[in-house]
Amino acid sequence: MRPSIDQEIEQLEQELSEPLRQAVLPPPSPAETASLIAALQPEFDAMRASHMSSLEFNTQVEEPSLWRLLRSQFLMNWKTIVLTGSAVFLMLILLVDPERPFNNFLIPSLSANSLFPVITPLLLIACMLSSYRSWNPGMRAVESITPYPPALVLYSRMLMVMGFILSWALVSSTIVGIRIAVAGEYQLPFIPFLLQWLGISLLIGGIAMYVLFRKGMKLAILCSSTVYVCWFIVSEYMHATIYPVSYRSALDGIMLLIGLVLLVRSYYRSKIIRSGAGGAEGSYDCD
Amino acid sequence: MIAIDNLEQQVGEFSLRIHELRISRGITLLVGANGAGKSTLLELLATVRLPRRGSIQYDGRSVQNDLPLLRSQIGYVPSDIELYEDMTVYKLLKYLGELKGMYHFERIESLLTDFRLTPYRDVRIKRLSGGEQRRVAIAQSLLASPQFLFLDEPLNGMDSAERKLIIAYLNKYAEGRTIVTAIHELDEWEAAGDRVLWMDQGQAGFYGNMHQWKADLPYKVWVGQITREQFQLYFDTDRNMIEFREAEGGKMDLRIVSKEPPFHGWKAVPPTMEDAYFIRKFTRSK
Repeated sequence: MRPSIDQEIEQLEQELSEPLRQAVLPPPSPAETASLIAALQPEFDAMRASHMSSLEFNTQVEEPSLWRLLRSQFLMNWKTIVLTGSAVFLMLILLVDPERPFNNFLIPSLSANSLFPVITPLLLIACMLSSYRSWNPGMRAVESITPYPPALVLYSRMLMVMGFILSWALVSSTIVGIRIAVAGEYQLPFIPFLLQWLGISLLIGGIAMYVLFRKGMKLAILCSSTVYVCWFIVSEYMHATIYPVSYRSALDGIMLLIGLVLLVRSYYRSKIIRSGAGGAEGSYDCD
Repeated sequence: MIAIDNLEQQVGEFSLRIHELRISRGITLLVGANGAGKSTLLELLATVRLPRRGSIQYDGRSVQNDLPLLRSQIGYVPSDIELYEDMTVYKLLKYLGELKGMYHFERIESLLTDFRLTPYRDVRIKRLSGGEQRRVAIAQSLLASPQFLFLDEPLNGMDSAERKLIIAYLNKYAEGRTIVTAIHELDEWEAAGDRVLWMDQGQAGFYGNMHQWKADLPYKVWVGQITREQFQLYFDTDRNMIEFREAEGGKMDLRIVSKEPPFHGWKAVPPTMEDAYFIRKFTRSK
């Protein structure tokens, strides 16, 4: 029985070997595989495209707005800046003797029109430096993950600081002006007085912002400090030389305009910078 | 899915290199020794750092082309975060929500409820315990209900009840989303985790599901008892001990990694998640 089955199987194998050999297809050549992939490529592309569009902008997140950012930065930082600003400007108001505004009783060379232009830009640089980013790397990282252009967040914070300092300076200048007018001994040329500190402050702030979004914070502070020192030297020279008030005011006006232009340019720059504001690297990377 | 290709990042002396990695939806447990690159990888995934070389794609969106979109869909908790301690819980969440473009403040209320922070709503951060502060830190990452969540040791400083609360919340939240969390206690995440990513000296040493993590290990786990003298001798010569504790009769209960039974009569047991981590680390050191 067994030999007979073995013979049958052997015979069957022999009979089927040729038809099976013909039925088995040779493996595809590399060229055939490549042409198959090429033929299927449109399908792959369509699948990829549908896959790519699956992630959309978070619908819970609203469009960026400089005004909203300014508001939240203000609510976040107002206590520190109000305390610092009020202390400094209260001191300035008290330092100016309304009966002798151009001859300070503590330091004779410090008068109303030299105190404000010297102190306001300095305070501005100090506040910008201290508040430009969170000191804790973890919070800095969390704050940098925002759908807003990250530099815009930083811009809003710096702008808020500038706005605050300049508003304080404006309020205290007005108080000083009123006190001098009430005392009646001297007349303070108010607009040139305002321009005197506003021009240099905006120039310093504008330069700091302009450099910040191109070369980082360290260089921004260095540049604005250098400009401040240069202005101080020139200012001293102008004090020693007799210049008409209008000439001086024109110079302050030009500085103010340059500062404003730099601020506007920084705003547009801040909207296109991709890299994170003060990420874990601790630097402000620019493209 | 997150697709990482040819990623290279140098951070000081440390370098991270991932040739190819696909992180699927669900919870990926990121494990590895200190300094293995877990935090650097999380910072890259969270877009805190931008890759110097290589690419990371999130459902086909890249950091290079779609950064604001991605950041609208990313939540992140760093390990070293120190929340602004003078702010109240609510104000801090509101501030961070606004930074993310979130002006629907009802989300804050629901997170306060979910994380049992409602009683601390108007309490300053500095008055909270470490675990409560950590809960606030996790809540802030969820403000915009992001699709991608990256957590660096989120359970640090929490007691066991808080840990269970957070794991249960994240387990539910992960449905249809991607969570990558760096952890040290693997076993407590076993039920919630979907996959394990083991970072080893700046490279992805393993990525796979929980079953794969515990399978194909080159060593077995053995449990048994030895005398104190044997233990002393063993402790001095071998470093393959997972766990030991004193037993009755001056003996020691041991849990050991070995190819063969270390002593007669010892029993092989299925490895836990922690065992698998130990074995992989042990194998690497060999």
